[in-house]
Amino acid sequence: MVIKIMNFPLSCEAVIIGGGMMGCSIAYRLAQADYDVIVLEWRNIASGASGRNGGQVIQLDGRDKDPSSIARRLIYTKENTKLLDELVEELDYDFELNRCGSFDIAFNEKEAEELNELVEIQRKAGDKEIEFLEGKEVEKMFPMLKKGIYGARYRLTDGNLEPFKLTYGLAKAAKNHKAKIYTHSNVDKILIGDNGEVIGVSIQGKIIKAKWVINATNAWAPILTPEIDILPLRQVAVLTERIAPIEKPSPIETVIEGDVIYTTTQTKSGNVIVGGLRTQARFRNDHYKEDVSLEEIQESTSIISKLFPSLSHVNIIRTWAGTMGFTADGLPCVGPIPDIKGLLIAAGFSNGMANVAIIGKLVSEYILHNGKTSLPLDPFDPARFYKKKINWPEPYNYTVLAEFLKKL
Amino acid sequence: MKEKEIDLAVVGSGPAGLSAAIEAAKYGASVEIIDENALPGGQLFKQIHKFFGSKEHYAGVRGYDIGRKLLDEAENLKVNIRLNTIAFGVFNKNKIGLFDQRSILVSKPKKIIVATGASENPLAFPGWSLPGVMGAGAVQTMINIHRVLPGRKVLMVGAGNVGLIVSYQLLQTGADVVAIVEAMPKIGGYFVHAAKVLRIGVPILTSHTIIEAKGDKEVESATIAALDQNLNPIKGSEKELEVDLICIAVGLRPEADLCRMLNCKFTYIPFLGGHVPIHNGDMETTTPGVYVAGDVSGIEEASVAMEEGRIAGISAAESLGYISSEEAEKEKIKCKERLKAFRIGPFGSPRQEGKDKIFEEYKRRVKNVK
Amino acid sequence: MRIVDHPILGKLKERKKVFIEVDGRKIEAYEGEPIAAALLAAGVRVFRYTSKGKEPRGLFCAIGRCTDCVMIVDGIPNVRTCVTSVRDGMKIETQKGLGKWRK
Repeated sequence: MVIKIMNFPLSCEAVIIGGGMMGCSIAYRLAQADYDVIVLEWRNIASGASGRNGGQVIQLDGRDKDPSSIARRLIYTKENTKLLDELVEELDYDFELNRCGSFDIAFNEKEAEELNELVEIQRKAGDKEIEFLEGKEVEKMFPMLKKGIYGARYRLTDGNLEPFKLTYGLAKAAKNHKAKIYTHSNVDKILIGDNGEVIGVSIQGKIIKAKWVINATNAWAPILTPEIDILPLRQVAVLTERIAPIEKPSPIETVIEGDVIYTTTQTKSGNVIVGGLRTQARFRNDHYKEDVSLEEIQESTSIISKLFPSLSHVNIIRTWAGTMGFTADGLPCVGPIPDIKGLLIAAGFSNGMANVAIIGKLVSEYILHNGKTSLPLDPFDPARFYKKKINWPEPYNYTVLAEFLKKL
Repeated sequence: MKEKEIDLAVVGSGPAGLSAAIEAAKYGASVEIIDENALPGGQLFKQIHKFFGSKEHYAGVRGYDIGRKLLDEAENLKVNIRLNTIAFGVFNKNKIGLFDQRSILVSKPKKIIVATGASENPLAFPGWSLPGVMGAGAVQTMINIHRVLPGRKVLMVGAGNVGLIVSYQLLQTGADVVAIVEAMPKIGGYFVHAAKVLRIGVPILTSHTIIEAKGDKEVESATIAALDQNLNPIKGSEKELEVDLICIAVGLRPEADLCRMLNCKFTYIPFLGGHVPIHNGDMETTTPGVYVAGDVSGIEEASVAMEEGRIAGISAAESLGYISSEEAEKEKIKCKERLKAFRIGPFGSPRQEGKDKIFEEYKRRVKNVK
Repeated sequence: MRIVDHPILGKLKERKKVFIEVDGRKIEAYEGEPIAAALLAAGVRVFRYTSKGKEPRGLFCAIGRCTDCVMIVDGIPNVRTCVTSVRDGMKIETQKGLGKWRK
């Protein structure tokens, strides 16, 4: 057996742990500013949720009814949208951004009412782009959709992109600016001095010294930073063979059996991808399992024929599962770890695309401008979860967690 | 979803799969064979030439007759053969997902034998995607099973056994094999097969390869060239041949995706086709209860596939408790002796070396080996 | 071209004939044979054109693996003609790219 010996540098200015879209986004920004940055990824670029999601760009996911929460989230997703559009020009890599809108579809009157209500709250909170469309209007936009839609919540600047390509594009651009990315490089420990300052990381028996260490390992963040309890949450995806363009290819969110959301979208290459949060409740460690059961395949697959009856003959060619990061308030943890100088975390994401560009910018600003960021990092302050042990229910899935949080 | 429990599931109804199922069923195991094709027998029914070797290896018998014999034996032993059924994956370690064009079924076998054979290697060159460029195996299926000739003037790329045999079988249909090109300086296949085509006047050009396939919408001609010692084309040696069919016979590789889903470990043995699932002399892989046999365990021949199938079937029956270890050992030794006899000489010993390397890897990976 | 007589396999046995339509043209086939075989017998080797380069493609592996041989069969695109049997009255069309949805 051959063990590949990596030529890690003895020191650098910043070590980013995690080669997903967050890690690569931060690396890109830092490298652009000529900062000496390396990325240590334990598998391959985009091997976690970054490469396993469906590419849906939904700026305000979920059915958040709290106006101040909505208003605050909008500030960041609006900026992220602007930056993503800029990345289309900046990165020498087409990540297939398609702003074809996103739809949250109601299949009955009750749901239509709820969605209409939600749209009103969101518009009042400052979201000018969200609209409620009547059933007939939706059917006109989606001639292949199953008839009998009661309405939809629609945002026109949402859409989809290719998440692998986005992550690769960011990584490539970072490397062009002299960042070094090491794959199959598993960090053993983050090293902190007695004075509470970060020393660097230890990896394969070597020490890499750094001024800054950024834990961007999302669902795996608690391994290196156990003080922040980020929960792994598994999701299943199913991919069809390439088919002729569906009018429209936009992400469609649907609620099945009360409180479960499936999202379907068609990629630029023509494959339709379905992802959903409805998986059997599992124990924490099982949320990292990336293989899929037959029942999950059947369920995910049936969504396609439920939404588009004329596609029931289409073949599924791939299925997989991936692990996102989940936090008690649905917001990620981004910022400095309390009491330690030089240690940052950027983890706990379950909607990477709505955050990737802005988080990269803010974290790099924090490092480059001594803690001064163009937008406040306060909503994402890791201190809110620092050393706070939550007794999460186990086994769990999204539904169980949602119930648990309601009671908290 | 309907779930079915059986002793043994055999995926693939070629010579290895059939032989495995026959052995296990002989000792009393409940066996089901799964095959995605409409017809059983794997590649056997395309082999219209006579096999050679010992009597046990059906010397003098044509491939399709061997196939027929095996099928009859399997049927007599009440082995269920599910045709038109694809084993699309393995779930929860021991559930095989089956799709029979109508619904999903789940097979829950106690033991699994993967005998899914091999697929042909492609070869990239300008024009390689033109209609009229086909795998040699593909052409063999068309001419021998479907009685359809996909072209009249043929260039065969590769002078291994597949290239030589299919060239001869093309001649038998009345097609004109204009040339056989082989990149290596030597003919790769048995001389017996080479002699048959040489006698008819088909040139076998060693140290030659195809440079380009030309044609508007289909193959109309091919450019070949001589190769130097470093396998680079020699400028000025290009020749244009008027052909409408180009057959690619540049080797096979194991079709072992199911083994990957079963978490079998692999090793790389170029002479046996590339990535092969690691197994021991009893054909068990690094995943207990999962066996392999035939080309999926390393590219060899039908006779080898049958012996390996027998060994796998006996091993599975033994581990299911249908045959004692002593009796199983006795039977397996007979098969292993015959296998040894097949893996000698200039063609056979590299294969023996390859298999020995695989058995070494098995010993390294699996602790507490007997 | 059909191999009518063969030194080992003998004369082509009598089989039930069916008719399939290929791009509007009626073609004779034998019941149960793969679509690809019937097309090759009729001299048709171009089965589809690729989406980006509009390149002609046809049969390659004949074993259901490579998907180079896909055509639109009875309105459904991406059908592997090498492992799909003909049926009397089947409508087959050369697939251009990923095909088009019928209204």
